[in-house]
Order: sequence, then structure tokens, then C-alpha cells
Amino acid sequence: MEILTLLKANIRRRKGTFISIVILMFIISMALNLIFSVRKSCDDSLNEAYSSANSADITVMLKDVLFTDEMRQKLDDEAIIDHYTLTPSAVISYGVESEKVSNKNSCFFTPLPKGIKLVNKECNGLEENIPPLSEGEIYMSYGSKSRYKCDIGDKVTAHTISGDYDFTVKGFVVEPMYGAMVIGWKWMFVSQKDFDMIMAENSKENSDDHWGTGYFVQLYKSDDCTLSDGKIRRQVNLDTDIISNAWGATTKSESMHYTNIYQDIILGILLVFILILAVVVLIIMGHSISTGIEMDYTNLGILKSQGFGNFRIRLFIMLQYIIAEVIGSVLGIFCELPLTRLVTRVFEPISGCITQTHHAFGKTFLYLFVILGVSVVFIYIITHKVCKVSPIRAISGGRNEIYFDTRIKLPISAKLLSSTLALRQFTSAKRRYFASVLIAAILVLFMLMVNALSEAVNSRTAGENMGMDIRDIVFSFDEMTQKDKIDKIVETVEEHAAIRRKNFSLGTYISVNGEEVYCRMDMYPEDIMTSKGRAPLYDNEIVITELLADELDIKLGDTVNIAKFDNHEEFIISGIYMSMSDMGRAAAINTDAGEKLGLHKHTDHGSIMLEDETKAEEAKAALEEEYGDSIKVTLGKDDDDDAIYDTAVKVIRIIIYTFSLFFAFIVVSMMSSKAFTQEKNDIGIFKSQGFTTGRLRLQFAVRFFIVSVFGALLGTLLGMLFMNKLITILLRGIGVTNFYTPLTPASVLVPAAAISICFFLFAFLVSRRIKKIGIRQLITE
Amino acid sequence: MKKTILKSRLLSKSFAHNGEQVHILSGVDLEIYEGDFTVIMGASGSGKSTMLYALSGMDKATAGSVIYNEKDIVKMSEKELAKLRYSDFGFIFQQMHLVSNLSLYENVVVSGYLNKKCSASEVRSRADELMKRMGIDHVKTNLPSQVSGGEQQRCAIARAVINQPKLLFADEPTGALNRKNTTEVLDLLTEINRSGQSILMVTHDIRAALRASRLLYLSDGNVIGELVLRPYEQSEEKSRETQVNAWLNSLEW
Repeated sequence: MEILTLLKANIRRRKGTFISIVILMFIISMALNLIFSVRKSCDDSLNEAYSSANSADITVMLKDVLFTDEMRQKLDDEAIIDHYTLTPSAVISYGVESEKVSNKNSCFFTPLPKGIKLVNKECNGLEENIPPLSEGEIYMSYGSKSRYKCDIGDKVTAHTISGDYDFTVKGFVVEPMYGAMVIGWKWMFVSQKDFDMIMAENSKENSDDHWGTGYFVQLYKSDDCTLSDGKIRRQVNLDTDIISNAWGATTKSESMHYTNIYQDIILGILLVFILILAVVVLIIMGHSISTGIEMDYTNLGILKSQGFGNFRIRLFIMLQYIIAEVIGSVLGIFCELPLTRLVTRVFEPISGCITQTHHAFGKTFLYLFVILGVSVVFIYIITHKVCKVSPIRAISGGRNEIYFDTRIKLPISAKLLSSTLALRQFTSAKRRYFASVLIAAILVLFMLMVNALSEAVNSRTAGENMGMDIRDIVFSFDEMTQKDKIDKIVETVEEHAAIRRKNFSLGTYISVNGEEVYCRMDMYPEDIMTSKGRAPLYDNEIVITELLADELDIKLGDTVNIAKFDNHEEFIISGIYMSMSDMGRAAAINTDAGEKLGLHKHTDHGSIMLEDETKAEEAKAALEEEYGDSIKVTLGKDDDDDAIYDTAVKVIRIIIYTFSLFFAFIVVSMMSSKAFTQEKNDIGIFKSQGFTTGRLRLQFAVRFFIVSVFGALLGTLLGMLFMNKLITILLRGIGVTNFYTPLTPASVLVPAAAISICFFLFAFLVSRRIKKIGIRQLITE
Repeated sequence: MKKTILKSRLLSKSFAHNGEQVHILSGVDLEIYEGDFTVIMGASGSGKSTMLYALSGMDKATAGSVIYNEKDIVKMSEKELAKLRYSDFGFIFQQMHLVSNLSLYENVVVSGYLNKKCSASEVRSRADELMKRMGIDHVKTNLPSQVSGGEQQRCAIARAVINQPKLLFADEPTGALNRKNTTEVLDLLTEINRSGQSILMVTHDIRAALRASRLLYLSDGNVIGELVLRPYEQSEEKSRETQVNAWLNSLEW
């Protein structure tokens, strides 16, 4: 009961601190529940879609003729495979073109299978039934809506080896395996009649170079198989050679990874940020408790003299903070509930999956429980100071008023009186401001990180260094084109602009030591940028990404078994290179090496990166004049795929900046509140000497500015040292194994300046209370 | 004829206490003369300090006026009051109230820097001179917590006079000091007064009151007695004490 009475009194007296902790925990719990609930909603909804569509553990796409009786037999004998299904598919080799977007990625058409769900017209839910398709109609995946920028009723054209076929979009469906916007290949659905017609026409045109009829072989693992999807695929390939012969094979876990990659990265970055903010809350609480004990020295001494033990005193201090945390957490979770649906909706056009809201209370509670547990331990340690409170000393006038530790003798200047006094107040109580410095540093570090991400998305140098294809001029050929013709095109470009890098290649899947890996056969292998070793100049050389090297446990100089169709060759790893193709799980060889594997030395697309991108227009004009309509030339800057990533980074930037500034405000407001109480006397003295409120407020704001400048410097230094590593960990999932930060002076200075200015402004704002502090308190009646 | 430096008319101050108005000062009319060492005495709770703070503009009066330089300081803005504090008035507190993280020297010069009449170097040399005069130049780089109460109060006096105020207010300046330090501080104030400094001091200590050239007695929120003395001489202290005691007794102190 006595603890309850003290608790109530303390909360009443320190309601500012109490409310601040409630608000901070409110934000943290709300953000945590949002992150986990969005993730759970996306994952569960995708799993429901896989289940409804009866998606296989591994989906293999291959030429129908390659699915031989022998392969069929081997699959039947495969112990880890329970069963498989075979779905004939028409291969749309040259991609699908909408009214707004032409995409060269291959697509696969089949009649509509069972279990595929139709997205409703409002795009916010699923229809109960899916109407059958009539002739000339097509169902596209919901992710295609964003990828092809098309809508219901729009015309799309499928470019196949047997000609072009026009369709009207009847609707969008949830096709879980390849439906996401970020996945290149697409599985689309047409009427049985159209399908039969395309299959028949394509069959007539099938040749070694071009093949237009294939199978989806869907493999379902045995119930007792405990291997991961990746290991099953490897084992099946070693046993049957099906993957080596395939255009590609996708596991369900890969599909899930690719489908949710966008939100996983954004939510991952936010999760790290929120957990760091939880640490910030601990720091704030630590500071608040520590100064609270100093300021309450006399009262605590009196309590001790009345028989309160250290444990009881520590308990009621702890309880007041834990109660604030609990209230903030509960409110946060409660207020987050409507947000999950709003945020998942943002991701739906990218993942191509309509999500049902699932709240991840369990995980949120677990994290909050850990945060509360850490808080309890932390507060218990911090309140150890209570044990040192002496009742005798407290009753005889309290603790000595000196609350500063050391003193750096920086002179007080007449000209810069406010600033030098502010500096003195900071240097004479460094320990008190340590928490603020640390918090400012953390906030600046995160703002720097998000700036680095933003710069990386927009920077050519960063993109190039991280393995992105920087495309100033993009080529699309109507038919497969040989290198001699491409050489001439390159020459034309060179006459108008210096070329930095050329990428004319054909992508395919090959088997590396039994693992299916995306591989690009490059006509200009010398332009492949390696981080270790060198480009694959000879026909027995291959370069792989760091991610792949780690996954397959292979390194530079190792010999690997490469297989494609029935060709098996040994290659030497000549280099490690950066690529974000297939989320960083990629390899590259030259065209001679490709030929050894039975692949053709031609391509129907390519791109060029110029030394000076402003010359691209001029080169494009020259190409159009020389080649007319025989090649399609577009400018990379018109390609708006990057805009999506740019938007995502902008969203993260807004969130992190907003949270940072909000936290800065709470921090400044809490620290100021303590400072006012501690320095009430000094403020009165200064006023008695002729300092105006305005001058004292300025002095106060300058002090927090100095604190934030130290924090900003520390944060910037930490950023320089660790930022790349931290971002690399976060972005490894999309194939970035060595994040390159192209930070400009502006992007370094902006976070530091933003935090410093905000600390200054917030401190000036909250220092309005100085006006209320009068000289009267100095009077001893 | 002495020149009036500060004048109050119907000066009142009251506080709300437990829902009731408590009147501390009830319409005080008073004049303080230039060059005088005026001491206000009175029993505990008589409102001496309250009157001092109201007269100095450190605290707002509830009613009435305090005229300084033909201006009513009760009606002054915060900015005008701040200027008054650093240019025309000096103040010594009972509890010294030095800024704890500034050295003694810095406590003095910071107040000097506020007054833009002198250059920074002039402020520094005057601070040096004052600290020597106060006998605290050997501890000038020390923090307040590192020196004795007497040294702190001497520093507070130096701070109060750094801007050569027209009127120096002192609120029980010896109230927190031991006997030795009390004598030192009083000697300093006497010396300053001799050099022409007008002083208005509140005390309940007879030894401090002996230094006055004019004594005022406050009771129930009003001045009820006045005693004018010759300038202080140590040799006359005994007779002065008898005179003051007799006067105080007549006022039922």
C-alpha cells in the first residue's frame, strides 16, 4: 500500500517523464506490431495462395521434348519426390507488350488451373468465383498490373515464335509462384481454345534456336523429406538432370523470398531502427532515473529514515517506469490494429498477392516482453545509486549542490557570452549530456544510412559498384542478333559517346555443382566488373557472386561442374563479381563458354552505359538514323523501374526522419525538464544579474545545439565506419554483398544539420519555462 | 539636503496562502537617499526581504510604485528590469547564490560583460582589482564550492559592484556567515559605502545594523521607526550599539 501511495505521488509529480515514456513506448510497440503483422499478413496470405493454387515445392519449366521417358522414370523413382504434375505451357519467348510497357521477359501461357483466385475490381479483395475465359481474353497476375501498367479491358500482345497474339485483360489473379512484380517470368492464363491455337502454331516453328512449347513440371516433396527446397532441387537435379535441361526451376521458398523481398527489406530496416529506438528509450530512462535520484536525494533520505529499505525504494522507482512502458505498449498495439491493412495494401501491387490481415500479437508481445525484461534489469542497475543515499546527510540539508563532474577551462568570452556560457554548462556536466550525445549519434547514424540508401538508388557509380546494370541506352532486337552486328551498333555509339560498359548477353539457368543458377552469357565479358580475380575471358572460366560462392562453399580458383542440357563441363572460377540478378545468386560466362554448353551466341536485347549519360540522346538519334526500325532503341532514363525503389527508399527516409525528429523532441524535452529543475537556482541567479529570459533561452538552446553537434559528429563517424557493413547485412537478401556508399558532402551534412538544428529549435521551444522561473526563489525569508 | 535615489509610494505585497490573502507589505512609503548606508531591521517575518526584493524590482509588488530615475520600476518590462539589474542596481543575497560551475572570477566578469558600457578588458581589470580589494584574488580560479562562505560572499559583493551600481541591495549578507567572516564582509560594505556607494541592506543582526547611517524599522508590513546615525567609526561602536539598542527597545524589538 505504501508503495502504491508513493507510486501515485511520484507519477503525479513527474507526469512529464511518465507521459514521455508512454509516448516513446507507444511508438515502439505500434511500429513493432505493424512490422510483424504486415510480415505475417504477407507470408500467411501468400501461403494461403500457394495452398489454394496447390503450388509445388519446385516448379520446373522446360522444353516439352526434353521431358523424356527416361527423365520421367527417374522422377518416378526419386525417393524425396512424392509426386509431380505436368502442365503443358505455351512459351511466349519474346515477352508481352501492353499499351504502355514492352517487356522482353519470357512468359508462359496455360489454361486457367483450379485454385487460382480472382482479384476483385476494387483490388482490395478476392472474388468467390472466377469466370471462365473466352477467346481473346487473358488473366494476368496482379503483379503484372504494375509491371505492365495495364488495367482491366486493356489490350496486351504476346510475342511468340509463331507471331503476335492480341488479348484483352479480363482481370487480375493471384498467381503465387511468379506473380510478384519483381519476378521476371510470368505465368498467365488464356482460354483453352487460344492456348491450343498458340501451342499448335508454336509447335510448327519449334527449332533448335527457338522453342515455343514447354511444360511446367511441378514437383511435390515426400512428407518424410526434411531437406530444404534448395537441397531437394539439387538432389533431384543430380539424380535426374531435369534442372540442367530446364529453362529454369523455382522453389516455393525462393518464390516467397522474391515475392516478399520488397517489404522484407523495408520492414527489416525499420525493425532495426525501432529496436535501436528501444535502446534510446532505455538511455533516456537511465538518464531520467539517475538525475531523479540526485534531485530527490533529500526525499529518499527521509524515506530511508522512516524505514523504507533500498529494495522498496528501487521497486517503486522501477514500477513507475515499467507501468509507463506497459501503458505505452498496450496503447501502441491497440492503435496499430487498423494500420496493418493500410500498409499491406501498399505492398499488394508489388507482391501481386491480396493480403488478409493477420495480427502477429505473439511475436510483438515476445519482443515487448524482452524490452520490458531488459528495462527491469537496466532500471535495477541504475537504481543502485539509491543504496548510497544517506538519511543523515539528506536530513541535514541534502546532497552537496555540485552536480558537475569535471571542468574544462574554456574561457567565458564577452563577445560570445551566451555561447561560451552554454559551452561551459555542457562541459561542466558532461555525464548528464552523455545520453543526449549518444541519442543524437544514433539518430544521425540512421539518417545517414537512409541517405546512403537513397544516394545508392540514384547514383550511377553506386549502382555500378553494387552490380546493377546501368543502362543509358537500351536495345531491343526483333530477332536474335549475332555479335558482328552488335559490334557495328557499338561502333556507331562510340562515334558519338564514349562507352563505359556494354551488356549484350543472354540469360539462362545452368547447373553449378548441381545447383540451378542464373547465368548470363556475355558477348563482352571484359566489361564484367569483378571485385576479386578477373572477368571470364576464356571458354572454361566463370565468374560468380559472393553470395553464390558462400552458398555453394566455393571460391576463386576452384573448379566447378557446369551443366546445361546434356552438356557437362568443368569450369574454373576466374573471378567474384557483383550482380543483383536473381537476388545476387548469379554467374557469368562468355559466349564461347556458352557454346560449349549448347547455348547460342546471340541475343535479342542489350544495353550500354556511357561515360557521360548526357550524350545518350545524341547516340540514340544516330542509331535511329542508321538502323531505322530494325532495332528498338530507348533511353535508360525513361525506364521507370527504378522509380519504385526510389519511392520505397523515400518512404523509409520519411519514416526514419520523422521518427528521429520526434524522438529528438522527446529527448530534448525530457532532458530540458530535468535541467530546468536542476538549474532553477542558476537561472534565478542569471536573471538577478540582468540576463533576460530571451538570452537565457538562447543560451539553453545553444547548449543543446552543442550537445547535438557532438552527437552528430559521433554519429557521422560511426556511419563512416560501420554504415556500409550494416546496410550490406540488410540488403544481402537482394544480392548486395558490398554496399557502396556514394555519400556526397550534402548527404553527410543534412542529417547532422537536421538533428543539430532540431535540438536547437526544440530546446528553444521547451525553454519557454524559463520565463516562469523567477528570482523570488533565491529569497530566504 | 540629501538626494533621493529610490522612492516607494503605497508599496504593497500580498500572497495567497491556503486560499487567503496574506498581506506582507501594506502601503509602504519610503525614500532611500544617495550615499546612505540604509539598513532595514525588523522581526522575523516582518517582510524585510520582501520589501527589499520589491524595491529592487527582483519581485513584483502587488500594488503601489517604486520610483527610480523618475520611472516606476513596478511597471517596467522584463527587458527594462534586466537592464536596471546589470547597469544601476547590484544585489547581494543571503545565500550568496554564485553560479556553481563558474569560478569566482568568472562569476564576477560575467555580470560585468552584460553591461556594455565597458570593454571586456576593462571589466577584467576591474574584476582583478575588486578581487584584490575583497581579498579573494588568491582563490579567484576556484569554484564556489571550493572556497569558504566568507569568500563566497565577498565574491558576491564583487559581482554586485562590478558594474558600479547606483544602489547596492543586500539581503542579510552575513546571515549565513560565521563571526569572523561576518566582520570581514561588513568591513567591506562599510568601505564601499565610504567610497560613495549607496547601500540598502536588510538584516536582523545588530552588529550589521551598527554600520548603517540610517536605520529603518519594519513591523506588520510598514516602516514604523527611523534612526539616523553618524557615519560608522569602529572606535564609536560601543556607544553606537547602546544607541541602536535603545532605539530598538523603544520599538519593542
